[in-house]
Amino acid sequence: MKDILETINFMIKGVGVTAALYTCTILLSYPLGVMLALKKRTGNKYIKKCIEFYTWVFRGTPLLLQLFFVYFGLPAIGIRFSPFQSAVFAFTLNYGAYMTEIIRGGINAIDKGQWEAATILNLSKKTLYMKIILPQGLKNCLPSIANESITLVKDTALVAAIGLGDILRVTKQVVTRDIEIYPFLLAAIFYLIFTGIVVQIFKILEKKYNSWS
Amino acid sequence: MIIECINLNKKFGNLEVLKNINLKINKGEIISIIGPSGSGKSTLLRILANLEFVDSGEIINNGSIGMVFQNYNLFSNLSVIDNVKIGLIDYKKLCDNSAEKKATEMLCQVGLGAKQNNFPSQLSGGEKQRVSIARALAMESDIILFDEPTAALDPELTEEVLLTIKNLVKKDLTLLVVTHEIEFAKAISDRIIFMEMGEIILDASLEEIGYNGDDRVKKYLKI
Repeated sequence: MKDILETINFMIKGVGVTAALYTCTILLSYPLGVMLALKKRTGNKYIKKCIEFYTWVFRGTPLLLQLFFVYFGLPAIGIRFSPFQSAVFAFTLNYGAYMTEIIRGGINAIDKGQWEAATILNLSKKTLYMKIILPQGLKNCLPSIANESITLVKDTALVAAIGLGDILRVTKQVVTRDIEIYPFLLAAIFYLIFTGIVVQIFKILEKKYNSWS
Repeated sequence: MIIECINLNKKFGNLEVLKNINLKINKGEIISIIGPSGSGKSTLLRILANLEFVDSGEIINNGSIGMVFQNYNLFSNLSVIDNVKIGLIDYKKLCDNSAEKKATEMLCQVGLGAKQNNFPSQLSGGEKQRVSIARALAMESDIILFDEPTAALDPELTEEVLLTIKNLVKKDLTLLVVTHEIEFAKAISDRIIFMEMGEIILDASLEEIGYNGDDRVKKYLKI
């Protein structure tokens, strides 16, 4: 029992790293997705092409490749990031690309009449997007955003490959040291608790958004 | 004069939806546009509201335009009162208190003072349309366009909306109403415009139509 408690204590450090990476990625990539989705609608054709190229590249290549590119590749041209910075950078660009497309879809699904009513009322672009389009668009894609948020929990495990001490990496360290199987089960429980919390948060959000539909 | 249309033409693909439309709307007039479905009535209205563009012709617009849509187009994520307030705050630059007061006044006028805090999804079709009318009224536009305001409603809800519009007629507003409710059009209008196949066939007062309108229009109007 004492061993297990010690192991949990050791693994908590990994949980902290995973949670920090997760939070940073959400805080950076989701706003990036919102911004680019709006730009893709309102920007000129060059901006639209650039955003299309970006989403094509980052959705079309493995996240692990992007992570290696940033951590092992960029130093070759003199750009160096710490493992954590590399992870945040690669994850933000990758998830930002997915979010761009998800939110674009949510906005496109908004009824044409909502735009027309805003035109007739002479609403400013800012009010139109902040008060009408974004709330409705985000509601439309909330289930997809929830899915992405759950996937991100599990994707964070990829950073073990660049030596960042997340849940998976510390687990493997324990297993290698003690030759035991239970640390893997503990890691699974950590991930399940983590995704469970994410699911609950989205349930609350969905309930909130459903109050008007 | 609030709006003048000169030789408007509009095509959707190969279909000519508006042909040489000439129309003048003066302040204080109540005008109904009637005619069969597909005759270009709604397109004309949407062009006046800047929601569609003409292929050729000129529109001289001397006033602000409000519109009530067939499908209400209330902002689904905003409460009833916020639907009315949003334009007052954003475009009319009213402070929150004044906007609230004005919106409440307008909602009471259409009999929905008690439903201010509901969301559109909690209202009947007739109530939604009355909110939409309150929203248009609050903006104090020089003219309000009604695009088949009762077409999406059950007969029993139609009446409450028509009554709401009839009450506006007394307020010295300028209204342009596309409708299939012939008796309603006859009751409120200073002028009736009959459209068919994208053309204005007739533009006259009910009296004039009674004297020398052609028989088909008379039959349509049941006079």
